[in-house]
Amino acid sequence: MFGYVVHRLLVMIPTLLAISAITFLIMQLPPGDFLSTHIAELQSQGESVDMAKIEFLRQQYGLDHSPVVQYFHWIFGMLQGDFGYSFEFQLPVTKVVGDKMWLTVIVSVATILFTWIVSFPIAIYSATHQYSWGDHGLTLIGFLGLATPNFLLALVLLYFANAYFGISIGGLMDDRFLDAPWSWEKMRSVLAHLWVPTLVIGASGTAGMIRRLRANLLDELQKQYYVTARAKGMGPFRALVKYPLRMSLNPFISDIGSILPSIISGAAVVSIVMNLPTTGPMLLRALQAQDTYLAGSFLMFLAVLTVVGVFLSDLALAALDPRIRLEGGSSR
Amino acid sequence: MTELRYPTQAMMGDYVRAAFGLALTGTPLLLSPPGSAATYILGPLALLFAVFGARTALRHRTVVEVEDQKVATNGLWRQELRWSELIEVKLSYFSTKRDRTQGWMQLMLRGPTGKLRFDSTLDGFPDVARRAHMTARAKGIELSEATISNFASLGFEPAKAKE
Repeated sequence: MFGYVVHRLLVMIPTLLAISAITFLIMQLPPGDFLSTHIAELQSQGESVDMAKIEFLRQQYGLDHSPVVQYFHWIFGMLQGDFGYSFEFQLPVTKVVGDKMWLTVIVSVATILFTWIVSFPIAIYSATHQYSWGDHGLTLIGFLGLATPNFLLALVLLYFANAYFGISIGGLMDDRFLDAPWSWEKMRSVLAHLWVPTLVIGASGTAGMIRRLRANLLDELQKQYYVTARAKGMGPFRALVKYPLRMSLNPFISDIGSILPSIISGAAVVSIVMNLPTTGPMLLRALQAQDTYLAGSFLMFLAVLTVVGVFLSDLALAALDPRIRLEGGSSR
Repeated sequence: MTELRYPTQAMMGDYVRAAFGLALTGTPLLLSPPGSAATYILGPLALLFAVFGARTALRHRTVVEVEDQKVATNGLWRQELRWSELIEVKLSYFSTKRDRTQGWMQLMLRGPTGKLRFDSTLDGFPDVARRAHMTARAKGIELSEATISNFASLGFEPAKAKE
């Protein structure tokens, strides 16, 4: 297993370097830079532009260097915890992200827990009661969850949450807590608001997970080892949990790869509709404004989380099922 | 008694991996000021590749002795396992490819005094695997589904599976 970890790490490092180069290249592709965009914005508003100041800012932010120099400066900065400077917010990137990161993590972890807690028992019930009324009903709800656009569900739930529970429209806490330090009262306000975005963001994921787990479990329940175990008198619960359920957990493990970045990125469109102070809208704004370091660092962070997530899920799969595929073969 | 070794040609890949990993993580580490974030991210990675390099070197000079009564490894220290005392056998397959091809196997044998591990790069690995498989069958040692499947890919008939 140690050798496998080293092999996988060696695949990860060049991957991350390639992603960083591509991310930086894409950020550099649009003509001009943040300052050019800023000048154009000022001119369109009829304001005068002090070219000497612009030139000073260009030198200060290192935008007068070649893209290659800027890239290496950015990469080595990140390795030392310096993610660069946000031109848009006039602050270091770490300060801009700040609290937004924690709120995003809270929303996303709640969504993941919701997805797993709801989908797991429903999928098991659907698979073990295939074609029953309960299965048909849950399948219908699942398809509705998959088909309903998140932003539409967000608008509907915002209305009902306000009309029946008195929860303020939008946001993740009452307005009086917006700039207040963290306290139990603030935490309670966050928790009271949390269920709406959790339900909205988690709906389609839950429905998808139910479908996949149900299908996997049904496949396993048809296999000979399960039929034999039941025929030999093994109880239905034990026979189910011992192998079929364990084998059908692979999609959960594989999902770790995509879960880690989604914990941080948040659902941008839903966050905008619901006015959530998460990082999704911030990333969108940074990309629109060509705020190179904020957008680039954030995208790079997401890429790192994706690669680390895939690495962790690969390790978990290798530990759970270190089996050769007979059509493959070992070459060493 | 048969003496088996890890051939140099097979070990070269792991030496290159250790050196490449050490260069990729060690170079920026040396260029970064001490105590920076890089120290905490790249430091453990560099250490990991260094340990992997040391393990590769150790494995390179290890001699595996296979006899009818026992199997032993002579590396930094000597480890021995009598076939009659075999408790657990596990044959794992690892691959970094998405289609799970071009991988390698690892055989773990556990006895009362410890574990012995052999990679499929070992010359004569199928012989060690065959003896382990035969002993497991003779002693009725239960094997996992993955181990049975991996033994089957080497051409050994399935033994008793764990419930």
